[in-house]
Amino acid sequence: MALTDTYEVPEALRDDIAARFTSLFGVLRESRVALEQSIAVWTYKGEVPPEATRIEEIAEHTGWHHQVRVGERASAFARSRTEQVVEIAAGFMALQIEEIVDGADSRPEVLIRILDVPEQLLQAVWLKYPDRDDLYIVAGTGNAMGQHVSGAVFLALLGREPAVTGVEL
Amino acid sequence: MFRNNEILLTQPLAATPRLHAAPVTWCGAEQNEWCWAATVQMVLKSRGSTRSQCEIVQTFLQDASLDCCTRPFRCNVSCDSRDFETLVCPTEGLTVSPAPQPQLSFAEIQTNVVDENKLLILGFRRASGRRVTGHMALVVGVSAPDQVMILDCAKNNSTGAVPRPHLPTGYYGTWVQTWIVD
Repeated sequence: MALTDTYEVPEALRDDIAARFTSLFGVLRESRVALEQSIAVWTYKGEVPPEATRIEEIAEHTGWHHQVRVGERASAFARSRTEQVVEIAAGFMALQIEEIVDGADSRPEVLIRILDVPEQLLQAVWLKYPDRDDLYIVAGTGNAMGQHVSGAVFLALLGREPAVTGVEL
Repeated sequence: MFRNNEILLTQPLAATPRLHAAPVTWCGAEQNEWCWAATVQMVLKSRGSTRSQCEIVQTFLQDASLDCCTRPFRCNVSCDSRDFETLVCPTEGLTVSPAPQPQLSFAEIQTNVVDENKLLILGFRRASGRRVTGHMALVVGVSAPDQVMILDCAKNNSTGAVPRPHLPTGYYGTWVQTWIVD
């Protein structure tokens, strides 16, 4: 079974996720709604040092992603930071993450994390192997979504691509 | 509440979000610089328009030779906030006005979106190394106790909510602008 960083979700945080989730989406009485695994969220630090070879060198741990299962599928998630809920969402991203995590389940050497790259409007499931990284883009713009790239390719692209300006404010 | 990691249903639970009257559906940004065009498209779509992002960008650039719908990558441009407010939105038939204070309170958001049936476009700025980046998101509703329902063109067809206290600095950089869409 693939690994995630260890995190025992505090009871107060669990309760807050549950309250916010039910307030926003409601819960059918017959549905089984459960908090699934928590996955560490790492956020890009804004630059790729020339000597960087691993994703861990360009990002830092900033919070947690909590998969929420409704019925048989993880169709929602919550994000937390310093034991505070910072976002909850339902939709395709949670399903994609579940599929990738399930696919990695037979690889006990893999550590699963989420990589957030706000400067490129990208989020990826990051499979951290002992000797390499793999990234599956689960949120982004244009053609980025759904792409699977190696850590080495991702670092090269990230180092080359200018940050997305989007709107000048 | 979650007990043994499952939600314990202690009372009938019904969704209680309070939404903007017209359904607003998510649109993903088709080019990485087009969050502004995707946001406008979501607003237009809620009003029955089928206008595409490339058409919105093409009109903004005022250069038919670019052919944004055939070669969108050639039109992958950001948009200045002033152009957004005074050029893009009026050209697309949208009346937008900047909120007097960009960081609206939860009550103000609720008043605008639910009571007055207006959409809100939030603008965020983020310092990244030596560059400054920007992003937009659309507020479509609220939910107890303090959740702001957001459609974000980079969030992969997910309906999300962010606690209002987290919005000023914790969503995408700093919340620096709010436009009210009449």
